[in-house]
Amino acid sequence: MRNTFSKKLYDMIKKDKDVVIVLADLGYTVFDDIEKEFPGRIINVGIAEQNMVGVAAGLAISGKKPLIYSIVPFVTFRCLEQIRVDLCYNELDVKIVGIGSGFSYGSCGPTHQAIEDLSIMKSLPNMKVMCPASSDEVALTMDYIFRNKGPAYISLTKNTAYGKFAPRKVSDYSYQILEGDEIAVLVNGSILSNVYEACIELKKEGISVAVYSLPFIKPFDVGAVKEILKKFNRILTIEEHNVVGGFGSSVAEIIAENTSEINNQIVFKRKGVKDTYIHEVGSHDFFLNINGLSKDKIKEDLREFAGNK
Amino acid sequence: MINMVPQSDVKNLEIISKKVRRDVVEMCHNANSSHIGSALSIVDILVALYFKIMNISTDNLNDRNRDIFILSKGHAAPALYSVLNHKGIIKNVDLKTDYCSDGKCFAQHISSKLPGIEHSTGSLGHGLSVAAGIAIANKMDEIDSNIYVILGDGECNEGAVWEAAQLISAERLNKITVIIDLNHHQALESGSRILTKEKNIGLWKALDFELKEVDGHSFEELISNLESNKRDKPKLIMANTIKGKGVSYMENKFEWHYKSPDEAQLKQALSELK
Repeated sequence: MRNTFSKKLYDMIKKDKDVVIVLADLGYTVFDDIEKEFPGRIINVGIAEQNMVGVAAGLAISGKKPLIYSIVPFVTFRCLEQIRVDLCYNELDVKIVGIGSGFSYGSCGPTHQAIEDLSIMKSLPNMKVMCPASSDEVALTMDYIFRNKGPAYISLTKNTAYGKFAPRKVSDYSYQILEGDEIAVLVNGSILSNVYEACIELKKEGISVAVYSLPFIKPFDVGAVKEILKKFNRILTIEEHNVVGGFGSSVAEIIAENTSEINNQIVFKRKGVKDTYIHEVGSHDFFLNINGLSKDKIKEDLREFAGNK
Repeated sequence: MINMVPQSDVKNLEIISKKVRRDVVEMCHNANSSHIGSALSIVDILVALYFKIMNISTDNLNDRNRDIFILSKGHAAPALYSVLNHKGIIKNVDLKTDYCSDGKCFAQHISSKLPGIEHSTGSLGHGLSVAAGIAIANKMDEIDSNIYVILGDGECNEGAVWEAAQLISAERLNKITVIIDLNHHQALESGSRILTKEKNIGLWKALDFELKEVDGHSFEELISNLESNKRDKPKLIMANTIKGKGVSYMENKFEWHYKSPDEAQLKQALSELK
């Protein structure tokens, strides 16, 4: 996933002389090719994230197209006010990419994990927010943020995302990953891998689950969600993010506000990260397990959801 | 060492300053708004910059070669609105009634929606990083224009100021001139207790800025030190100012960070600013 990001950025740097990268002393080896070929285009401001955003704002005022990059909490929460005032309020063309969405920095602990970035960033006016599940979606979202002026944020998992999907586009922004007719699962982000494997196994048990992947948090693909809601009675959202204010909340809002248009027999559930910080240490999988986001737990929950008619 | 500034220039700038101060006082009276003291303390610095030092006019607002001014202490907004109005950059407005009025863009903190305002500020500690970004972009494109930033002395409490200062120093962004409006008052107390003048100067010195200390109300001193000089360091001008400068009952009075003049006080202020 990070490779696709590096490759896409390399292409952008090559194509557009105004694209520059601003770093706050993180990104080891990620930009090696760019550094080698375009040495003047990377600016490291030191361990100073607020300054990273402000400097990017100044570059954007001067006609540059800066991209800033760091581990998610440092490129979002640490410099949130600079993002809000310097980028969103001033409407500047700065792209933000965070590495380590969800628990992908598992053993680093909660300071480095990111379960609140999407809900916080989506509440900022003018900000666009994406969390891709696969390399294809990284390419889609990178193309999107450089095609559309203004501040944008992409949250990337640190770990290799599963890539064996055969997605079918349901709109310009969203994909259908698996066909099915009993339940629709709407997924955001790289937890799609566990959902996909769980649903392939459930199919063998005779439980038919349709899986959709929606990398866009804002703008939200309301049209695609409404179409799905028309076809299914049982809807489950899954995300590797706090359930408070996340992807599932956005789907819930669409259901709540469109009862006349859609099937009002809908049974709706959200699965995501519990609204708590976890003090025990562990791997990425350890944290997914605790939050019911392992493949097996997803299977179990879907079985129950399917049986509970 | 002070270069001679023609007395006719000084006289002219003093006249403009008085007009700006009258605007500020009337704006704050009409809007019943705060920060009048903070606006009055930077008037002479702004007038020197816009009417003597900077390459900026209505004709080059979008030209990359223009000089850039960033007001990091965005709450001194009325002073900047008035200066831009007298400069002809903000046109066709009546600031006395438009300031803080419903539906207008003249808030108590500056907005980049207005012509001539490069960046919206209001939350402190943002401006210097933005100036650094502009300086880096200019360096990339071999643009040689000057960048001026006004920070409040209280604003220097903000950590982000020092993140930017370290980078400006390390990258030798020599086209940046930082002006500190050293009026010795901040929102809850006077006297620069958290960061004294001596400590503040020491920090910039440690970061290897070229240091100048001036009377922030003397056009001779402001102009001779603001004028672009060949240098291999970024410049820091410590401008000794008086909060509320120009109105006797406001000068160095802490409460004029908050209060606005009533009818009688307005009358007195305007008579002092004739």
